[in-house]
Amino acid sequence: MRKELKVLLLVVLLAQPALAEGITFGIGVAAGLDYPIVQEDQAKGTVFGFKGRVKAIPSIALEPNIYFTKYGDSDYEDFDLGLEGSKITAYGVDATLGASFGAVGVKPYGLFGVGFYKVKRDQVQQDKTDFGWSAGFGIEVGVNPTVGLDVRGKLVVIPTNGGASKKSASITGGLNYYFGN
Amino acid sequence: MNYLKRKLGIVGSVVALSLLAGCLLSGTFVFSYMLVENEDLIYNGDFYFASVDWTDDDDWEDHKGNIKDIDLVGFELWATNITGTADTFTVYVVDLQSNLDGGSTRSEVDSLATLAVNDLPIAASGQTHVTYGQSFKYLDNVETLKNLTEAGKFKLFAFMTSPSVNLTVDSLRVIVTLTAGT
Repeated sequence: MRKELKVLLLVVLLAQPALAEGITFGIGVAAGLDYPIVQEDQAKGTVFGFKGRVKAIPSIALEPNIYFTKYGDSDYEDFDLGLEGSKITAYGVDATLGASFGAVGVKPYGLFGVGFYKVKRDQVQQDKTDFGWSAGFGIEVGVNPTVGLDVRGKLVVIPTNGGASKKSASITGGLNYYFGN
Repeated sequence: MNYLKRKLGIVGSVVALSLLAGCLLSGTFVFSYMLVENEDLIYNGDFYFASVDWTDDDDWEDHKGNIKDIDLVGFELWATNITGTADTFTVYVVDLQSNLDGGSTRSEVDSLATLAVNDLPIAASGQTHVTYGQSFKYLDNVETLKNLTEAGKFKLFAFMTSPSVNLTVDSLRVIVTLTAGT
């Protein structure tokens, strides 16, 4: 809970200068698929989440976000493990470079993010929160100044014990809505 | 602005390459090893005993030098109770240096070995199947099990609570989820 409060405080602090200058902000929702990378104990799952969008400086926007992932049950090839997939609650901030931010038309962008990843598997009483990061690319299609369609793919890396990490790739589609345009 | 974009693009590329390299360097793998197959637990008259060593197993050798973490240890059991009485199944383990062996008494095993599987219910006159996912609720001393698992060598003792119940273990395999480099 303390980590969540720190993230929330960071988001609020980052948003204050932008809002004070009357710069637009937006909100978004996204959903898609999440593919574990070299994780034999997980299978492809679903992800959905919410984000805010705040223009920090021209061409760079900050996105405080929260995403929920549910991996599928392990599909280990040799026999049925009967092992449930993990649930992940991720909350953090992404920075996007080149996003349209309320402009009409097609705009590709890159993104880099950091956040906390709470990985939980009730079946085995696993419940762990680690700091991780992500990077990827996306395309936003501005339908009009207030609505944008957003498609993005990103790699997520969650460092774990001993210098290893859990990795996944997600592809999501979503809708952004901008205020103040 | 273009200069800034170029700089950020370079940084982004470096980050992406690092991510890709990281993807190739570690992963989470499932290792399984058959401990018991088609064995009657009334073995040596009292319990089943085995000295386990999977350090030469090909799959284990793929990872053993690069293990970062043992995430989970569990088992899968297929067993047939040929008697008409329900009972419970228990497994103990010790490291190879222990003096306990097939000649030990059940009370010695009870008092000196580490309890691994605790009172797993076995139905009467039929087959019992416990999946890896279901096995965790029957495990005890998980940290000790993880240490023995990583060593790859230990002694195993398995028995029914009632010596008169004759259980055939169709298969009992240990299953390990581990994080390792590749």
